[in-house]
Amino acid sequence: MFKGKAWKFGNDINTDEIIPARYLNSSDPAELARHCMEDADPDFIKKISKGDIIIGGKNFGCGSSREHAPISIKAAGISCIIAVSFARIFFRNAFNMGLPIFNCPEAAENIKEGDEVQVSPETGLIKSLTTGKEYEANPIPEFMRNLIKSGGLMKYVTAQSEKKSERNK
Amino acid sequence: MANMAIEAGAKNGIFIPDSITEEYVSRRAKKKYTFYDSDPDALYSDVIKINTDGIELQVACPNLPENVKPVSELRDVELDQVVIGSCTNGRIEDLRIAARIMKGQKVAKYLRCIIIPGSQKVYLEALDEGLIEIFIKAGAVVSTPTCGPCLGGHMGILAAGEKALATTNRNFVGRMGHPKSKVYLSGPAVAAASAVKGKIVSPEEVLK
Repeated sequence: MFKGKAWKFGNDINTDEIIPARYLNSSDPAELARHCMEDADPDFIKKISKGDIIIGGKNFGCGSSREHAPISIKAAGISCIIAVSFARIFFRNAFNMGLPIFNCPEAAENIKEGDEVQVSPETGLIKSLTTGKEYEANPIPEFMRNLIKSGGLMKYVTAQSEKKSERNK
Repeated sequence: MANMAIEAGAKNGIFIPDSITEEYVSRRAKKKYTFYDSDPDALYSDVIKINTDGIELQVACPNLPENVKPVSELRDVELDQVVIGSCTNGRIEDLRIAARIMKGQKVAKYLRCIIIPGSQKVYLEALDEGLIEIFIKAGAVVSTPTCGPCLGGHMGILAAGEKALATTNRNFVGRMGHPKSKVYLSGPAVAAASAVKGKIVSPEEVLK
């Protein structure tokens, strides 16, 4: 279960706003987190608390296939993203980096900045604790949940191959 | 084009490889490759046919590659920088087009024109064909193949309020530098003509 304060952004938030290219000489998650969303909201990182939730508009994450974008958001302590829609290029990256995202236009449009929001990854149920309203996103399929639980694709594959070699011993 | 379909918001862009692709791949591939074709009985949810003959040269306006307008509709977009080349439009054919337009011309005063060949091979070919000389004599600078200003990396990073026309692939907010700078995208012909005129123009404006 994810629970946190909602931070709203508009349509077409691109990867250069999420993590500007001038910081890409580092791939250290903590360093990338310090500049998370900087070109969309320079004060974002100062305002958020661990577990908070980003609410995006249409086409969230368009732009580069850089994995630094979901890494930066995850390392900043954001628990998940809810958006009207995600750019495909970001969608896969998010799961591969272990950042849960939810496609739910109704929730993304109706939840207001500052609302306390609760999200269940198993059922896809999104609840605004501020207004009491509930929204249904598609639940995350089990395989994708496993990616997130493992901390991303690389860690998932490593764990799987270790299991395999254990069995073969 | 397959790549640019994604920039324009598609999930994927797939082409059936033609003989030109085959020629390109056969000289470069280090592994065995397979070319796929659609099944003869493939079903499509929609088929849209586009006659490209009548399409005017297009320019993508800030801040989305899909936000295109015909070049004739863009008037008085004054430019601080033009970037020709990069991975997207840095083939030898692209540089030939740009050189044809810039030959004997001068880049507009106060405008920075940066030429970026797509690869070392293209760079050498352009050198052999005298294209690099044309660019330098026109007042452009020629860079080694690099991502450079395309993602706001180095050499040609835009300041707040600046406008650039680039033949690169993306024009999202902050892509080439400051979030308050603006990026327009076009092919090499429009970019070269615009570098000469200092604002976005059609190639005919320079070639006439």
